[in-house]
Amino acid sequence: MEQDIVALTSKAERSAVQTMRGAAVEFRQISKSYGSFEALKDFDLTIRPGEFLTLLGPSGSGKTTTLMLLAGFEFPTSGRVMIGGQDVSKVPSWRRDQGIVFQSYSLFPHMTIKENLAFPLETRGIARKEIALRTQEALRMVQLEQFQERFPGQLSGGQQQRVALARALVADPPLLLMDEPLGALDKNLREEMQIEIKHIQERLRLTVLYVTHDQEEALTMSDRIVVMNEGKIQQVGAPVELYERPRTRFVAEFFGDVNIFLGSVEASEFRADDESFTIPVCTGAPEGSACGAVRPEKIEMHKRGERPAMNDSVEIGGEVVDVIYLGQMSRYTVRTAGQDVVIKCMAAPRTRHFLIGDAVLLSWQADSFVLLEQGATT
Amino acid sequence: MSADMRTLRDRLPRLGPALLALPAVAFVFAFFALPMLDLFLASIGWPDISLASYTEFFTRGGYLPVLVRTVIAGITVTVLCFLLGYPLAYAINMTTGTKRTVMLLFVIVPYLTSLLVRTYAWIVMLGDGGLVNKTMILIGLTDRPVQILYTSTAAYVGMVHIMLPFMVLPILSVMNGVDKRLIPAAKSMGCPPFRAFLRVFLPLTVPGIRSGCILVFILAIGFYITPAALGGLSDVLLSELIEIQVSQAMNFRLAAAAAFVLLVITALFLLIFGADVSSTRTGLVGGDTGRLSGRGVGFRWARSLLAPLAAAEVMRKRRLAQWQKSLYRRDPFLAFRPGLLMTYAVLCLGFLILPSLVVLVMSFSSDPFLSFPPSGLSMQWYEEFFTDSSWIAALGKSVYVACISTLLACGLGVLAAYALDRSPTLSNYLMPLLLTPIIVPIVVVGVALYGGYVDWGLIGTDAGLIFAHTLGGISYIVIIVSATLAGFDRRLERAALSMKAHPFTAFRRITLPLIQYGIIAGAIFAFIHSFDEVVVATFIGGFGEKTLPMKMWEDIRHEINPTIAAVSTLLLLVPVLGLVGLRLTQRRNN
Repeated sequence: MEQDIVALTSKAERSAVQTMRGAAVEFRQISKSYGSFEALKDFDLTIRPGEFLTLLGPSGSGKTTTLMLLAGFEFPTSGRVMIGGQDVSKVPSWRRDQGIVFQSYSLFPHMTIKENLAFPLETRGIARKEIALRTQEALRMVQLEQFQERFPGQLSGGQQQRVALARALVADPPLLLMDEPLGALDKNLREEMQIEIKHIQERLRLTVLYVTHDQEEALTMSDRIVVMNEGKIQQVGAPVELYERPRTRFVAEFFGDVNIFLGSVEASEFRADDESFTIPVCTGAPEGSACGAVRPEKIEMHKRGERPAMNDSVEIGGEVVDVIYLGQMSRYTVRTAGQDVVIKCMAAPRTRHFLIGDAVLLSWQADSFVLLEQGATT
Repeated sequence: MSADMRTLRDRLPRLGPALLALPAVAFVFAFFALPMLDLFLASIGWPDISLASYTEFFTRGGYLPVLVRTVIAGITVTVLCFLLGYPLAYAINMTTGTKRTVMLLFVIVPYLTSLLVRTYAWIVMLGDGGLVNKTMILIGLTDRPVQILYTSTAAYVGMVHIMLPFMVLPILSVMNGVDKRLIPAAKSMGCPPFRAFLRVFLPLTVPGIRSGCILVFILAIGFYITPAALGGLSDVLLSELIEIQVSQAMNFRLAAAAAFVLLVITALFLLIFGADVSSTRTGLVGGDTGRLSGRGVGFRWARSLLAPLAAAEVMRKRRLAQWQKSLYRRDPFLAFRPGLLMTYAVLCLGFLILPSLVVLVMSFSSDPFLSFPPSGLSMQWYEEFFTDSSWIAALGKSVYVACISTLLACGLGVLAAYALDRSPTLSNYLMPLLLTPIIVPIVVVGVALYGGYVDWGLIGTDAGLIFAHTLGGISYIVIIVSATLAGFDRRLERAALSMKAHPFTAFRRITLPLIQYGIIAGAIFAFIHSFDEVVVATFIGGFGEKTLPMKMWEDIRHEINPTIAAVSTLLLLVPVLGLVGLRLTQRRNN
């Protein structure tokens, strides 16, 4: 099919298609068991060419297994793995074409940086002259030209990380797999590398499968995020979608603080079990017991007696019982008639500070309240 | 590439482990397990099954006392080695820096020195004109030389001397793994130093003590050379009895039965003390120790034999140790008497190294007989050695046999170690098999191989010797390379595979360069194993050309002259060169 398209397009368009070199990846009905342990169950996922897709989940959720299947280090018990339209389910790693950045970097300690970068080119039987050219290019890309004669042990963690990235990319693979590549770096360096990796990926139009357990990292870098738990996909979507509209309690709780309210839906209205509030929900929501979520920063807090914003559909009174100063913002715990509610307020110049014991009024808008799916509360 | 070839190339790596271990396993099976089976069948008088030879062994006069004496001797040597060795190991463990390195060398060099050389050294030391008698006369303890040589005292002194490193090194390697902060922790809870030692340190070193004791006991009950050379005739041990039954009485059935009795004692001992599920304590030691001992008898052996390497590791870690030392300046246990402990350690180390020094001096003697100190210096014994064609021929043959068997053992052993590292299941079953050649008492190996190789016409041939020595070589290489592989980051190999490297390329370009230090170390051990080996060689050497140890052994038994001192001095170079070689490869590796 791809050939047909190429044949039909003009020269300019053809070059555009060629620069779009990322491969499409497809997992079809994958199961993977180790003995009686099922690491993946009925796993279906498509990664679009040139997409940066992140697998996010706690340890043991199956995200590393997924990466291993795509890397060819493990083979599915059932189902198929397709890369660029070809079934590679049983093709071992060394017969696939991909770059991998490992969590531990796995730079060869007995080879210099230059030799490390040359290795994937040598195994592909590329001529020596071109190897020299391409290693230099890769070194330039990660700005490590002056370190090429050093051994990995002589570089800092951040530099090693860049070498690992350059080594994964030097052979121009259509697919890049990254297994928690920034886990070993400190916070500032990690943020810097996140941006650098994202830029390189966008420039090269690479398909990237990125594995992490760091929600912020996933939100920052990904086109789409796959949240996994216990070998199953919980939700797939763009970062904003996952954060703002989580489908399950697991996803809601996985992305930071959230207030969960138990209650029931009746006539398109959610009523909290503790009777503290009711809130309209979209029509068609299944009736019966339900649970909903509100992010702490979506809640407004006022001193008792002040008027809340006009269009807020919920108002609950309470008392501040805990204040934690976080720098940019403060995190308050408010005891209400029902349950304790967590609120985060920006420390903007005009924002008042609340103290423990203050009587407050909480309010939020109807669309800040997300009704979560039942039966998937794990 | 044809489709068939392609699938084969793809499948080989997956079948890998089993296939790679196959050559070594087949080799050990053919040249060791079959002869052992043969020996067993001989002992029961196959094809008519009868226990006649066992009945004879246990009922006819003379044999049972030999067995009892052997076991008692084994226990005595083990206890003596423990009593001498534990404080020595403790002293070394408490030392840091250059002092520690020197102390370790004083243990390791004797450990690697030829058994014959060290036995011969005691003949020189304990003889009527030897250092011991001369000293006693000098300080007035006696006015005439006392008969020490050819008494059981001499046999014990020699055996303890030879076994001591086997006790110290495993204990030391475990002590080294004990968290040094535990003793200060115990003291912080109000525990007095000595109690802290008894309640915390000693229990944590039990795995090392057990390894050391098993090693020493099993070697001691199978010991042949040293008691035969130093002991009195009334002190015949089981190993000598076996040798005599084969070489003089030509009673192979009885020898086979005796060998099996020895083997059963060894196995029982291993079962009781070795496979003792390593007790829960082992787990407390944590890290490597716990993991290794978890793998059963074989691996505990591995650790014991690996001790010299662990020691090399210790040298590298000494800076860290120094830092810890400064943190806890006061020695937790013997702070009140460090001088006493050190004096003791120096005496022990002197005991270990002195005989070699005496031999060294003696080799330059101008006297025609063994007398210490020599009345003058000369090179005559070296001249004698280098001009005597039989010595040179023996040396040549030893080098030849050792080189070929080392190469063979390397090839088979490295592949097997790689395979075992890949598959824990395989490792559990095959590791013990591949290690039996050095676990079974050497004299049993000798008889078994003799019986087997007679049938195959290998007696008196180079091939026979090479095969026999390759067995032990494989064991050493498997142990050492396995340990090296355990420390090798297999994710590197994975990384190579992800870069389109064929598994064989990945092995050649990544794994091999990174484990070469272990391979070289294993090869050095395999070489020394073959180059020093005399018991098996004596059994299967037949009337063929002699190896250097065979000729030395013959000369030691018949005409004791200082030529052997010259040979011994030359042989002292072997461990020294070996250590230098290890050190060099290690440095290059870093």
